[in-house]
Formats: sequence, C-alpha cells, structure tokens
Amino acid sequence: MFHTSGSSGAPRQWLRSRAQMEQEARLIYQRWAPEVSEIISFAPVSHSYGQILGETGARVNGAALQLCSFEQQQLPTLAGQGQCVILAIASTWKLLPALLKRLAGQRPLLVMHSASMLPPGALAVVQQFADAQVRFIEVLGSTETGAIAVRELDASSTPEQPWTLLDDVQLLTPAGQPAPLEIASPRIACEQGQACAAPSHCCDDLVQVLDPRRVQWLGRVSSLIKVNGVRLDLARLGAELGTLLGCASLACVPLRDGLRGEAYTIVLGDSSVSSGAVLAAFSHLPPGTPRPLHIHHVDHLPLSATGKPQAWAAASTVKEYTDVIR
Amino acid sequence: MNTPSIELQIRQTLAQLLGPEVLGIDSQASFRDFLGERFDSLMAVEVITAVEDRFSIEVDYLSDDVRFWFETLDKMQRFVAQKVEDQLTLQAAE
Repeated sequence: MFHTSGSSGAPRQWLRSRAQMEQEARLIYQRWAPEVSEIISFAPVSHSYGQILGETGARVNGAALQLCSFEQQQLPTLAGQGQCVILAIASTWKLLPALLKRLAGQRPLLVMHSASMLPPGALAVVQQFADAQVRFIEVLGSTETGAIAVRELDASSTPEQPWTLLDDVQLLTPAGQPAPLEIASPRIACEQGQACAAPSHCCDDLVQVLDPRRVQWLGRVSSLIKVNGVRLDLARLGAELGTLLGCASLACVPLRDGLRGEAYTIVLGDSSVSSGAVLAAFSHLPPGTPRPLHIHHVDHLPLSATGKPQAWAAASTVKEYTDVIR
Repeated sequence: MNTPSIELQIRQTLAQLLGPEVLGIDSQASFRDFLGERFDSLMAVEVITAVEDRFSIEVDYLSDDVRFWFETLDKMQRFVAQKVEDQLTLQAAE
C-alpha cells in the first residue's frame, strides 16, 4: 500500500500486488544489473521506488540490501563485492562523488535515480564517473503506475535526453503537440476501494511523443513538485497555509534546488504575517510536509480574477531570489 | 584590519542561509535542535556546504564525523580550524 497526497486534497491509497512489484524489479534488474549482488538504497522503503527497486529488488535477485539515509547520516559500509546498485534520490547526488571515488574501479556499479528530477549538478557527476564499469540510469515513474520509462545517462547526456518506455508499457499519448503522458501497463496500482486497477493512467507529466517507444519530458501538468522524492502540490499547500494564517496573499513558488532536486519558496504579500507564524503553521499540516527554502515578503502579490495568488506573478516578483540555480 | 574569528565567520555565513537568529545562538547549544525547529532535514547538509564554501575546505561525509563536528558552533569552529590548518600544511609541503 502506497500513499499519495491527491490533487484534490484527500490522501489516496494505492495497492500494488507482490507480483506487480516483483515483475517491475525483474524487468529493470534483468536489463540493467543482472549480476547485482548488493543494493545500497537511499530511497525510503515507504515509497514505491525504494520498496520495489530496493527491498523487492534485493529479494528477487538474492542480493544484499543496505538501507541508508544521507539526511540521517546513515551511510553505507563499502566492504561488499560484485556488482553494486546505488538507488539515488535527489540528495544522494551530494554524497555520490565521495562514494564513487571509493567504489569505482573496485566493482561494477549502477547508479539509479528516480522519484524526482535530477538535481542541478548531477550530470557533472555523471560526466566525471561514467564509463563501462560505472553506469547511470534514470527511471521515470509514479506511485500510481510504477516505473514507466528509463534513460541511460553518460558523459554526453543533456537534460532533454529522451526516455524509452519499459517493455511492458504502452504509450497512449497521441503524437503531435505536447500532451500529458498517458500509458497502459500491467503494473498500474489499484486505488483502494476499487475492484481492480485501471488499464491506463494519465500522469502529471507533460511530454512530446518522439515515436511509439520514446518521449521527451517537458515538465509537469499540475502544480505538483517532488522535494527530494516527496510529492507536494504547491497550489494545495498555498491554499492550506492561507487558510491557517488567515492570509489570502500567499503563494508557494517552485524552484530548482541542488540538494532536493525541486523545492519552493513562500511569497507573502501581507506584512502582518511573520515568517515565524508561517513556519509555526506547518505544525498543523501532515508530518513530513516539506518546508520552504525561503519566506519572502513582497509589497504586492498579484491576485487572479478569483482572488487566488498568481504563482507566475510571484515568481517574477521574487525573480532576483528564485531564479538562481542552487 | 583584523580578520574576524572563525566562529564569527561561521555565524555570518550561516546567518545568510538561516537568518539573523544564528548570530545569537549559544556556541555550545545544539545546532541540530535549532535547525529541527525551523527547517527540513536537509538543511543540516546546506549548513555543511555553506561552511565548505566559506572556508574553501572539503568535508568528506564518509570519513568526517559530521554528526559530531557540526553539532554546535563551537565544534564547527574547531573542525574548520583543523581543516584549514591541514590544508595549509599540505600546501607548504607541495
């Protein structure tokens, strides 16, 4: 059972069968790391990525599993032998150079990244270490669908590099104009309360179809971001904070972050609401709700015709702060 | 002109990242507690990165005990002083 926040506000629960998880783990490991003997996972097992490619992946491959957390300074021991897979989330890339310096040349390595956009600086790490014995792949997926597509990163990779669908995934998005990614797959999760899983799913991702097996990822359709792998709907968060603080002039503005992949800043157009009050309001939100990187007060936060803060306007208002790649 | 102490430089650097409250924290107080009340779990890493950048030193997360050395401002300044000294020794030997 995996949880998502749900775009409408109510948490949603998704059931994924053991067979589905094992199928996904086999699909990816047989293609990319058939000889894996150890998995070093920085992805929490409470998330589908860490559960499927970490715990389930170790079980179906008979591999050892080290569960690590950079945030908690739970770091791996490096005494293993044989092919090693490192499951990375955004923050792991800060630690990867130190890990790869010690492991490269000692054993074959595969670094997998998923659960969020690559953080700025990740491709520089790829360029420094990628070779025949140190490979990097990025997995595109979601809690609802499981893994959808993969791309291998190498020294010549760019952020625009296309994604190739996994063998059991069928692309339903029409060719032509950019459109939401829609797929059919036998690994789509069953939403709790439903008799069975839907045959297809329309994702939050906006893509350009290149051919029946390849897409280019252009961005997200909704106001969803993934802060170091944790999904966060900024429109919903802004509305909740606004209600808690009695402040209509508040917006959550996304930004790229070197450590978290994606993050956000809060912009307030009401000088009577202090930064401390905003942070205190997080105690009323679900535990683990990602905190903002900054809280900025501005003289005027433009509102839409319906009285909602316009995030795009806020983004340009605080451009001098938020346009910096951190 | 006198060079500010390492501790003051750390406070000034972290104040830019975390706000002016850092200037008044007791040097023996738990920095982790200060962060935990205000920021997310990755801000501790941001702190280390900011200190690295300020003093042009490199923290090795796998061999430096960052949980210990970045627990208080006092420990941070001792850690930085040692790293800077090691760096100067290495440069002199080259």
